[in-house]
Amino acid sequence: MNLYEMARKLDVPLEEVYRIALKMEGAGVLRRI
Amino acid sequence: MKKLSEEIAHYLQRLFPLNRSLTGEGNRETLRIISEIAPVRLFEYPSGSRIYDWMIPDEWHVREAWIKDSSGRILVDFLRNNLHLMGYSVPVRRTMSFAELRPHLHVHPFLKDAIPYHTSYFKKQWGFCLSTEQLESLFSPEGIYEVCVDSELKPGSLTVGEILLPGTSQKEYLVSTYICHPSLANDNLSGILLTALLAREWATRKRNFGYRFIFVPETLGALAYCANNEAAVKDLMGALVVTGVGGPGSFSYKQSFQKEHFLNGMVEDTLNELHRAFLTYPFDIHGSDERQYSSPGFRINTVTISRDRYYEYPEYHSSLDNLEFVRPEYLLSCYEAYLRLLEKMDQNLVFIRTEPHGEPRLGARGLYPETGGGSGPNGMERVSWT
Repeated sequence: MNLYEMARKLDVPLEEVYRIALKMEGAGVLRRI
Repeated sequence: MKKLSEEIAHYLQRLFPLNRSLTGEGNRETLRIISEIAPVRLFEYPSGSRIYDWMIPDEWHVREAWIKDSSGRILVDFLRNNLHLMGYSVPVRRTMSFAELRPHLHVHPFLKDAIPYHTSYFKKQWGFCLSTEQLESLFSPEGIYEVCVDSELKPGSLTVGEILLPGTSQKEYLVSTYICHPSLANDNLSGILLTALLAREWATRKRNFGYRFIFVPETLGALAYCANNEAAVKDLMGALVVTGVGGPGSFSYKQSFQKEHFLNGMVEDTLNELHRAFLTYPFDIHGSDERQYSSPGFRINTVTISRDRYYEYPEYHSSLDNLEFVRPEYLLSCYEAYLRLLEKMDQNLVFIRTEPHGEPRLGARGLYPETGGGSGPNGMERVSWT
């Protein structure tokens, strides 16, 4: 699922999901594909 | 913003008079000037090259074109307004009666004071375009006229401009605009200028994805670019066609062929966030280069944001689509929308969990509030199920 679809599903702005995703990527929880 | 507005006004003035067409020096000069804003790499595709079901025609050059009456007075002059000459007119130099001349004269169907825009890229003919007012006041059924089209059609090339901005990912988006219209300000000098300004700004940003900004003659130029970059084009994540972005009308957007595609939602979010009321045009087979990018061989979802979209304003394809119709502030409002849309497109990454079993332990990474319990969710769980 891309971040836009996730943002829609969660009903939050894409920008917020993106910010959190980058934070989690930095912490090693997520990896971009 | 004031500085940007002044810059837009400057380039509109310089670029408006150039004789752009399917091919020719007007296109190259346009791209050379645009390169002052953002460096454009030029590609030349030779006349006679096969492009899918099409063929690149000879290059068109015009030195002068006019009609004189029997007293030697110039009635219609290409050098005064390039719309006066039908695009790709073949050479002619003859004296003729009004009856012989009339089939070669084109007027606007409902705007009496406007010069219409006509081309004949593939049928070899010549023609002049003029206002109904000019036709009625300057020509007489008994008149004898001297006609000159000093043009040349010779092997050359079709010119395309490209600005490549790589990202950290190999995946790319396309931003496409067309350069083949002569002195028509909204359709599409506005699109050329906005695309260049957008590329310049986007070059300064840290990008997740790669971006191809291209300046192409409509249809054949778009196809020539696709044919010469086929693998990359087929792998695009999506495309924008920038057209009609300088008029005073309301915002609108044309959807991509897949209504549920994320680009459509992003455009709507963008315009809503900017508090812009807008019209929605569902995808259809008419329009601009989304026709090529959406064709079965490519299937690239392509959207367009416009103000005064093609077909939808009376001045469309006429001399009244001029620098009085287009204003820097209108163009700036579209620039703002496209820039925000690019920001959204660039944030649309896909992630996977490095440890997919169970929830991630956010606290160990400093991503979870140190005090547990409390009365409700804290926000971080939103992404725990990525």
